Amino acid sequence: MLKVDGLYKNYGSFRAVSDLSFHVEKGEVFGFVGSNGAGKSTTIRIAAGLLKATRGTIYVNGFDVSKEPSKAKRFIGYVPDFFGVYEDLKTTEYMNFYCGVHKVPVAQRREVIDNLLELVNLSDKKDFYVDALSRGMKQRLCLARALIHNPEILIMDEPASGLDPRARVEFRDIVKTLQNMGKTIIISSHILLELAEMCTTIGIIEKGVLVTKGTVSEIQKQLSHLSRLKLKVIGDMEIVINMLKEKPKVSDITKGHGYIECSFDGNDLEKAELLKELVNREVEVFHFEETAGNLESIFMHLTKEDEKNDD
Amino acid sequence: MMINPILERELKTRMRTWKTPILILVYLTMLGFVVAIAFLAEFTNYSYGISGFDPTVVTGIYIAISMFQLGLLLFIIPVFTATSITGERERQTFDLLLCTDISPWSIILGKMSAALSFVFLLIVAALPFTGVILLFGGVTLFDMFKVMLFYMATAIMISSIGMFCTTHFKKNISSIIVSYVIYGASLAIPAILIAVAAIISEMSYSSGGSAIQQFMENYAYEIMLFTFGSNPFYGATDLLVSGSFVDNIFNIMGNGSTGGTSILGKITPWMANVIYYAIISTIALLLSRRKLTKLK
Ligand SMILES: Nc1ncnc2c1ncn2[C@@H]1O[C@H](COP(=O)(O)OP(=O)(O)O)[C@@H](O)[C@H]1O
Ligand SMILES: [Mg+2]
Repeated sequence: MLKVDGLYKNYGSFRAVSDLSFHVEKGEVFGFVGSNGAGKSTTIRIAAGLLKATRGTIYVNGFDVSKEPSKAKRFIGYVPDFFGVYEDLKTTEYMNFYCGVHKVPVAQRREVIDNLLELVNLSDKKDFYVDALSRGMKQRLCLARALIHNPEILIMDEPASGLDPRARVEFRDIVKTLQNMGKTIIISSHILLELAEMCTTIGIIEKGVLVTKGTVSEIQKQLSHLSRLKLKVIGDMEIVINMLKEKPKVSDITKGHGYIECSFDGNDLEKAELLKELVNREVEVFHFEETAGNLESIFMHLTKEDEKNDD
Repeated sequence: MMINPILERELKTRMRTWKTPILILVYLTMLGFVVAIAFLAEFTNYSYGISGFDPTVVTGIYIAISMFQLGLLLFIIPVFTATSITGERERQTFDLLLCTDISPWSIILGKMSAALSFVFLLIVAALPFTGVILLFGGVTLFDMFKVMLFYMATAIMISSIGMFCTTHFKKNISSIIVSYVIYGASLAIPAILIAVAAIISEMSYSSGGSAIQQFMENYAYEIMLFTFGSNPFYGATDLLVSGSFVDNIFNIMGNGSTGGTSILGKITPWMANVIYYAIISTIALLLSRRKLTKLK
């Protein structure tokens, strides 16, 4: 459905995307995750036909976006990371304008607009000026706009950022509905957890490079050797932290309120040996726990690894 | 047939704001002032006071209003077209147009026609001022119609320059400024070229060789067409003063006849304007289209 093929994008001498390749199958909900500046928007804007790739290309339903842009654009609904609304229009007028842009026959427009506003829960806001809508409503209006030409693929750039929890839940429900309608959906975010529940597949991008891609559980499995340890000690935590820093299998040490957390790349026997060593060195450990490898720590680890490679 | 969605939207929102009626009011007030001043000036010239209208006085007022209107239009139009796409960029709606399969021509024509329809509205709103002149004779309805068409053609040319700027710049303000600069340059460059040629000819004259001098004398009319073809006041003067004014300039310049010696001599000043307009507009619009199609 959407195939990114050896994509490069340079802004002057700065390389924002580097040899990026991945595939999103029909019906997938693909979470495109990366920290700020990772290259998500750049990739998405190339897919939407708004930016030229330096090398490589993106195929939309088989159409090369750089060679047959107008064909490719028909399959894509794009929701940017900004609102882009004409604030001097009413909700229905705003929708009517984009119906015109997409050449929806005048006779069908009413039905199209009613259905879409219903889908995004804005039916009761038809005569409101766009200006008067809340952030979450503008976001949903933008989504309705992107669906006017009934595209098979919907690409949303950081749609959940800036939404309150309630708006997020509403947004998630709409994504679910769209998924059930058979749409292929790509959602970017810099927060992995935000997407984990919504998405069937996750791709993690860092500094323009795809770090990993797979289903949520695959990603967890892929990193199962990596566990997160939580320990509480009596006495100076800094001394313990310095001891842990010497261990090659220990990484990402963080200090919490009265506890230390770290990632540990090793099996159970090795964990036991670590505990034994701490005790032998007269650290008074009163709590030693393996917390489930949660997605956020995996994400932190993956993106951190990248920084290390860079130095 | 569907109406261009961009034109439709612009007309809808423009008719809704207070800006439109206020702008029309300001425009008409300014024209009104010119009428008043012209009346006063004309009547104080006649020592016998208000003893019935002299048709030439009325024609003089008509010319004054029309010229002033042309000046206003030249000043106002860039503000409209030169902000049409940069304005969308500034409020981040332009990407939402570009990510659809709308054609660049639809965007350009939608924006142009929206700006031109407003210009048309201004011209029509000013009709009562000039229409009154018809009652006194001296000017025919057909004369006025020609002038109106000529103004619309002028508006198209200026809008095209605005379109070129708004597609090539990011900010409204730079786009507006550059449109004035480009337009100013289109007025100045031919004049400068001619001035340079004249100086060279003068020098060659003193040194005996007078080929250029000869050429300039033989083709004085054609050279005028080239020099002032980009200047709307050239054609406007020709249309409004029915040739006599332009003739007079020639007499002053020591060249008795208007029409030149070549086929070009058949071209009247307003035609030269329209030819210039066609060339400038075509280039500006083709470049605008190219810019919209080309991604960065
Ligand atoms: N127009 C641009 N000119 C120069 N650099 C840019 C431009 N757009 C983005 N970048 C840079 O490219 C990198 C990737 O940006 P972006 O794709 O927006 O990241 P993301 O959406 O993942 O936060 C960032 O470092 C950003 O500063
Ligand atoms: Mg982004």
